[in-house]
Amino acid sequence: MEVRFVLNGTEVKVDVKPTAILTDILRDKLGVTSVKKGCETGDCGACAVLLDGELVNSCLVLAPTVAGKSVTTVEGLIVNGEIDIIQKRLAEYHGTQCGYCTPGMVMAIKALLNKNPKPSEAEIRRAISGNLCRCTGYQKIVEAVQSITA
Amino acid sequence: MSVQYYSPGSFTEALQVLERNSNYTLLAGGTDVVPRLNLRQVKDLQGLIYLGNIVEMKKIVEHNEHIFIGALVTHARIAASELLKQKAYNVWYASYHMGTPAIRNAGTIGGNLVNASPAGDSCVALLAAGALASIKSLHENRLVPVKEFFVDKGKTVLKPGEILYGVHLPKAATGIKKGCSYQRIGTLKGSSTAIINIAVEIEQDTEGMCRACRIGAGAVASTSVRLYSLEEIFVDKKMSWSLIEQAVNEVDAYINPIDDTYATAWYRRKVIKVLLKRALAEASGLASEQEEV
Repeated sequence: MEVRFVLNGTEVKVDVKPTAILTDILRDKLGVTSVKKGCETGDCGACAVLLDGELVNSCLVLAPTVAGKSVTTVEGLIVNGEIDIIQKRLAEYHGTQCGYCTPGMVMAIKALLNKNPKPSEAEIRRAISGNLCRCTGYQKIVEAVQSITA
Repeated sequence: MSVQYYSPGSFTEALQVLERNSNYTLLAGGTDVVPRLNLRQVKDLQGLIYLGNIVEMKKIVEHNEHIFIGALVTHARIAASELLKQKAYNVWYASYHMGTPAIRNAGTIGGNLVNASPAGDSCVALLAAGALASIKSLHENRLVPVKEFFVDKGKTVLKPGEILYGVHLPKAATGIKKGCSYQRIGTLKGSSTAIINIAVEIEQDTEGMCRACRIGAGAVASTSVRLYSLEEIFVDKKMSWSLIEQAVNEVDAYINPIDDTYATAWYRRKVIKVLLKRALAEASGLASEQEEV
């Protein structure tokens, strides 16, 4: 079946099976490989994207259900060739090591800052609680976010 | 045969599609259905009926006697609702602490109920709230107390052609003070299945007499359960520490927990006593009178 939605500001049209997950469609059909496949059960957050502005795990979103909606990935955060401040600060503060969790982490932080530009440390930790990182121990990520909001 | 997909735009249309195809799977937030698809646990999926475009199932409405929460209301919206935090604390608490931000944005209260996990976080809150499930089909509308909703693990009283439309949370009568407490333990703070979850609601009159007590407990049986025998200890009595002690001492007899990947039955029997004591103390207002519970 055919599904149309807006991906990072551009309307796209893809042919999908009803049970295909958004993660696979983004990666395999639309070339958006920032979206990582981790657990496929909604536990790790590596596949997190914004769906109509809300953070979701794209592995739990069936492709036909995004019809008419808007999907944002880290590719969509680039403005005039510049990456987002979240990405810059994660790099600067060593908030990323292997990098596998980073795109999902960036989207979780983006979702937080869109709604709450001055989060407390507790709010930052709650916002990234669905994004597993096995390298950084989270502290550097929290510090990177704090450096943006301070 | 390929899997059929429907995305009805209204509740009536959803009922019509389901009436014709009672073997199709209903899809709401996808947080329970899609992992099972991804893990290839679903055999013979015939079709999906996606409910996410049905606006009337996404309402939170306060009525005189009760609060209505549509089955498609997400945990994120419940967590953000000041009305529910004030008037349905346990339901609010369960959603606020459920899963992770992305799960709360997708998962719905109706889905949590219909999934009928023995450890469902909203399930125990709705049991303690004395909630009613609003169930509709093309032929019949019925209100079923949530305490009668669960049949077994993953099984509910929903019949072919029926959809859970929402839940009704009764309000406390005038002159009645409602105390709530939700206690939960899991392996992680974020995104973990409850090892034990307990919700307690105690209604006290102006004299401090307990007029109603409802205790919902999860991960202690094949469904979330009410602990009726313990509730009876308090009804028409003044809440006291000695009654709480009595309930804590008796709880062992009314639960049947199992060993699983999250915890052992032994541990669950130990920890429920602690959580039950805390919940009863908090909901009755006694917690503030003693330093350590």
